[in-house]
Amino acid sequence: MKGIYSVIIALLAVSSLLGQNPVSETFSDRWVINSPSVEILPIRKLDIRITHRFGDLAGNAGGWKSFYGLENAADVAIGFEYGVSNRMNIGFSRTKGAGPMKQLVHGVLKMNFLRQMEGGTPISLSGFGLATLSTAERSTDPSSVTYFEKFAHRMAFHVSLIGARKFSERFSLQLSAGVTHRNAVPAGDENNLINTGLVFRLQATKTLAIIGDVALPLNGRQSPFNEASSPLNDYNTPLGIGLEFNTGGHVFQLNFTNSAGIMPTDYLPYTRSDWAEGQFRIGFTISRLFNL
Amino acid sequence: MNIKIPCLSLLVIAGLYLVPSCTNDVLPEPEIQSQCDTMMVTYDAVVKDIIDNSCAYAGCHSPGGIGVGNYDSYDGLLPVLDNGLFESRVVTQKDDPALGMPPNSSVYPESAKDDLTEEELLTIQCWLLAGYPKN
Repeated sequence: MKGIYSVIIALLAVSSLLGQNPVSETFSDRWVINSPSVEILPIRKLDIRITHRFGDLAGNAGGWKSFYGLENAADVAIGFEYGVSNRMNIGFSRTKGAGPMKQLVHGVLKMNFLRQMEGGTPISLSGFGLATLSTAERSTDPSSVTYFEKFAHRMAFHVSLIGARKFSERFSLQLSAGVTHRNAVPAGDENNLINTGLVFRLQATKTLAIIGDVALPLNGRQSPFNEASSPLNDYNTPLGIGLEFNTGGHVFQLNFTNSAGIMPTDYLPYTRSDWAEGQFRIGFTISRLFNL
Repeated sequence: MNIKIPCLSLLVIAGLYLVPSCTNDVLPEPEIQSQCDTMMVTYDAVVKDIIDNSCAYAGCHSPGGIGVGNYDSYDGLLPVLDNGLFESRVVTQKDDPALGMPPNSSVYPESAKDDLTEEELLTIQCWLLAGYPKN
């Protein structure tokens, strides 16, 4: 009889664990400005995405003569992501490329390992992987990253571990740690850039949220902590702030960021634009979900 | 469930393909030294003409222009030569349409030309390598 009780108690314990509700919508979108979020698409959902970054809003290249950057495109991404399972997304996109590597195609893999539960697991945890291939023509300069002596030199990778918590109905915070690997780098640069990211989302009204992201390289010439990084190399930390409108069927993000590139393999190694010099831009992302 | 197996197989195949495609190569320094050995470049003799025509014309890096600084004299150039910004913008970032100097006219309508000629660029690089002598 004791055995039966033990089994019932064990089943109740398991069912109470299983019965915990996962916290929904830590973020409304799989991307927050330029940073991948912890969110994952449910199975058989297709997300068609268009992301655009205009030219410098202010500074020498901005102002009225370029209609505050709206007449220029710093970078454009068109692509999709798909929920293969409730824990795994794959994606594909094409960007113009804002750094020296141009005409980029990207493959994305995202896995969800842990979900924040009401009264249970305190955080959500996802892994993000990105492989980027430049399809641009070869340069004739052997010191250029577009010389592409080997096919592998066209490629760059980014992997990160993303942890996030929805603290309340209004506020979510995300931290990430990642490595960006470039197969070929200019003399004096490093192949592996270790970086960390911070993302927040603050729900202001029912449909409007304030979002922000920063991606901080911790080594190499790109890092603000590296004495040799400035002013010669002119690198700056990508930093964005924006508004997110959720209209149910789709999410629309309007943002301002100094990063010209859209994908991590582009903006982490190559962001030189400076907020203080007016080299930030208006950007938007449209994401539309379909059931397949 | 039936969709997971082919997708996971594809991922494994993609992973097997990506691992050997990882390299850790560092590209060579630009080979300027050997080409500069036969050149004697000074600001007064050669570089001033290039800069006057490419940077220091009315509307850009000249008094009242939108460009930072006044580059119509050697002394006006010295601050950006010393802090490396000149080399960064003219040589390192030359392919960037907005930050590379001269900038593309699609970004700066005032820009008289999108790029230096190869000969002008080499001249500037050799001049910088020699320590940007005035005369």
